[in-house]
Amino acid sequence: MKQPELRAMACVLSRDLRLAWRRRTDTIGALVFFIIVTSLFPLGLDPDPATLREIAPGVIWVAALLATLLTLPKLFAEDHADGTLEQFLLAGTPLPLLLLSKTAAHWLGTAVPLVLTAPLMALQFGLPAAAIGTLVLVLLLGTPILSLLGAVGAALTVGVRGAATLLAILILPLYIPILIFGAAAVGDSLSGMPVDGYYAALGAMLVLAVFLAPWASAAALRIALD
Amino acid sequence: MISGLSRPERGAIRWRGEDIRHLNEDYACQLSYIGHAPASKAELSVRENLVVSLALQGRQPAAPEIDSALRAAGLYARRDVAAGLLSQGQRRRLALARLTLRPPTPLWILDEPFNALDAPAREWLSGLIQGHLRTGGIAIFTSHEQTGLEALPQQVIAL
Repeated sequence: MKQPELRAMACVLSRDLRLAWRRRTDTIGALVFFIIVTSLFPLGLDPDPATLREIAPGVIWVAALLATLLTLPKLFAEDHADGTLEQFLLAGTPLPLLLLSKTAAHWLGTAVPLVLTAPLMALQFGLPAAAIGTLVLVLLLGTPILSLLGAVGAALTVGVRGAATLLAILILPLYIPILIFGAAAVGDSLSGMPVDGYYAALGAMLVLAVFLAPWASAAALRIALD
Repeated sequence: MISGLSRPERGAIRWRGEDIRHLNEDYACQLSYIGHAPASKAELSVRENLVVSLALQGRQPAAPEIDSALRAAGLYARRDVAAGLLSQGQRRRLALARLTLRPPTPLWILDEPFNALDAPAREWLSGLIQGHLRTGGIAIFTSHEQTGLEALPQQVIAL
């Protein structure tokens, strides 16, 4: 990779992180959504500790997934509205590299706060320390995939009326394998079973997503804006 | 289509003999495109916006160069102000400030560049385009009004 390309990628990353910081309400909104959803289940269900422990992995993963989905429609919409996306398409740096930076900023700004909050949420369900450790690790491996796949959907639906609904319909089915592996890893950790296989599977999915999703997002953006 | 944002259904657009679809980023590096929208972020300062748009082109001009571009666009005094606080004309000048950096790209594609500009800014932009043409550059722009550039050797397509 050439130096101007790295410079452009770093610039997009720092620009989006700065924007995320200056528009904190969006990030905080997703985080509050995650906290509220995960807190509703212990309140609304049987407070039996065994039941709560059993549902915890699924509930936390679904909440993280929906909180991520909540932020995706804005990923490209504002850049499209103010003309920045045109500059991305005509940049001297390959578009997939710029989109990889943009997705990394989305993950850092949206998913990392969720991952950091997840242990606290897990305590509500009475998860033991080992299972909480597994939860954090699988979230760290799985949430970047959510951002990368979500970016493909966001690119396909940019400029479309009702983009948020369409995006959810397009992307939620793709999230199912990550949800299954992520929740199952925590479940198996609770049962004292080995979870290395889940780490390997999620890691492999992450590597594939890092290499393929930005190219798919770039193609989707070009189609959407043509 | 000339910028490469849209692809022609038939035929090809060539730059120095090569189809721009095959040139990709090599063509983008030769081009400055100022669209109808300002391509600036309201939450970022004037200077930050200019730095980002230059980095996208793979350029990293030094601080004095950025200052000189902002001076040329009449925005130096507002360099640390959030772009969202600028008037329409000032946001337009912020977009156009990119054209003043050296070395200039040979091809300028400008969509309604005179929009929202006051008389001094229009004069500045006319001078900028004339200077670019004098040095062998190409400028393609649309305008719905008289620009003062009609006397220059050019091709005008009136729609």
